[in-house]
Amino acid sequence: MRRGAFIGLVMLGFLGHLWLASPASAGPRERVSEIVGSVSAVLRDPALQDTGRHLERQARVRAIIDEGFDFEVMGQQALGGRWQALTPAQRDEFVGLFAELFKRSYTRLVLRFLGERTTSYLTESVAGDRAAVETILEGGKDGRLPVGYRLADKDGRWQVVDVVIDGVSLARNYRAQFERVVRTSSYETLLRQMRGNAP
Amino acid sequence: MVTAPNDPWLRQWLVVGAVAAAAALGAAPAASGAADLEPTSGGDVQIETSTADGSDVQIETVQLDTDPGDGALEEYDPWEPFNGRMFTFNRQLDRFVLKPAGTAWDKVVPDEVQRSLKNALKNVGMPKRLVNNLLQGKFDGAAREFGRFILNSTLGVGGLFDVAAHAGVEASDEDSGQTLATWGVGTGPYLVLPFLPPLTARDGIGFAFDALLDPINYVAPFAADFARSAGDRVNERSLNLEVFDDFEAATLDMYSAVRNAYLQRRQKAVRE
Repeated sequence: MRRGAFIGLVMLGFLGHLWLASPASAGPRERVSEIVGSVSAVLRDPALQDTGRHLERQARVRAIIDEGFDFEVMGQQALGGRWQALTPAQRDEFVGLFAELFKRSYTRLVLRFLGERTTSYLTESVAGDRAAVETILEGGKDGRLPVGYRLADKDGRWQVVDVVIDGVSLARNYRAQFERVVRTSSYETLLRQMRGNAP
Repeated sequence: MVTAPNDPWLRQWLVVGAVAAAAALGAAPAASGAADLEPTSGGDVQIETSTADGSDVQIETVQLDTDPGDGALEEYDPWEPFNGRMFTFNRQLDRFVLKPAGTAWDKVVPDEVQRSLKNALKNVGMPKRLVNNLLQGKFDGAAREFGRFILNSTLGVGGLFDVAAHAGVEASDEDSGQTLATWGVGTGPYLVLPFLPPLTARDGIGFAFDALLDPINYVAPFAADFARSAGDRVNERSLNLEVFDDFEAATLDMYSAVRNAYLQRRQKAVRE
């Protein structure tokens, strides 16, 4: 009886530790640190330094971005008011294309800049279900580069919904581009361009 | 044949006059920024900000925007057809002149030398930053700029090395466009001119006033000043070769991407 209670207590403690340490309870700064750390680990992995393994490095970084970013919220921000007019199927289509466009672009930036620089964390701001984490990328030719991450709490897990590089929000920048393409051509042209941008 | 005026005062006032006339044709209210945080839940919320080591925690209660899709930057561009043509010209200039020159420069000149050149040119521009800090009432910024100039000019060997930054004396990069914004002047229309970076009408006027504060303009003839500006552009392009390439590869519509990026950065600069 006492042995069973003891084993039960140990199991409870172990499961409690797992729960407390799980990503679902990580705060915004920890979440960003987790994502940035995972990417840096891939970029610095000696086994992946060979030029011939560039595609594998790229694929791993894309997988990390896929897991850490909420493309539905990002896509909604990027499309602005037009989002309300889309059917659920059209929204899914747009989010899929946007995710591919963003992952290609951001992976390229990350591969070029994150490996040779160190990330310093400055501040974390939390307001309800949104958060902002400000960092500085140091090193490289251009010295210090401020990078901010905007996160949203989705089902108890913080996901990145925007990246602000030196004051430029990527979501807002895409929104400006999409608005102009829709205004000067059409929404269908925008989708065609997004598909056409695919490799 | 029209020749470039050698009188720096006349040159600068010609630019000021041209841009002021453009601004008079359509000033717009200052572009309003959006809150950085836009939670999906509305009403009063508490924003808790803490530093990396958690030592400085500030909590403020604010009423935040309830519309997650709102807060887009106002982009006032009534001259888009003209700006578009100028943008295409500048892009061709970049593709066929600046980028090849920057690439060649990058191959020949070590990164440290490129950075030193950038530091030295920035050091010479201290009067502009000092005056604009004072005009905006940012006395701490003015003191830092003056201190940086003294440190970098002496210990930094004529500004080649940014010794001040290593000593923790950060720059306060203010210009006349930001001063005008602080005084309540609206951005005015977005403006693209040949050979120049993107501007708004307000920033264009500021750009002209900044040229009046550039000491080089008063000692160097026009040709030498032009050569310095061109050299500065090539050096800057060389330092950002990959950034430009990546930016271009990531965009669907280059014109609006550049316009938006410029306006966002200016909005941030005015806020700081």
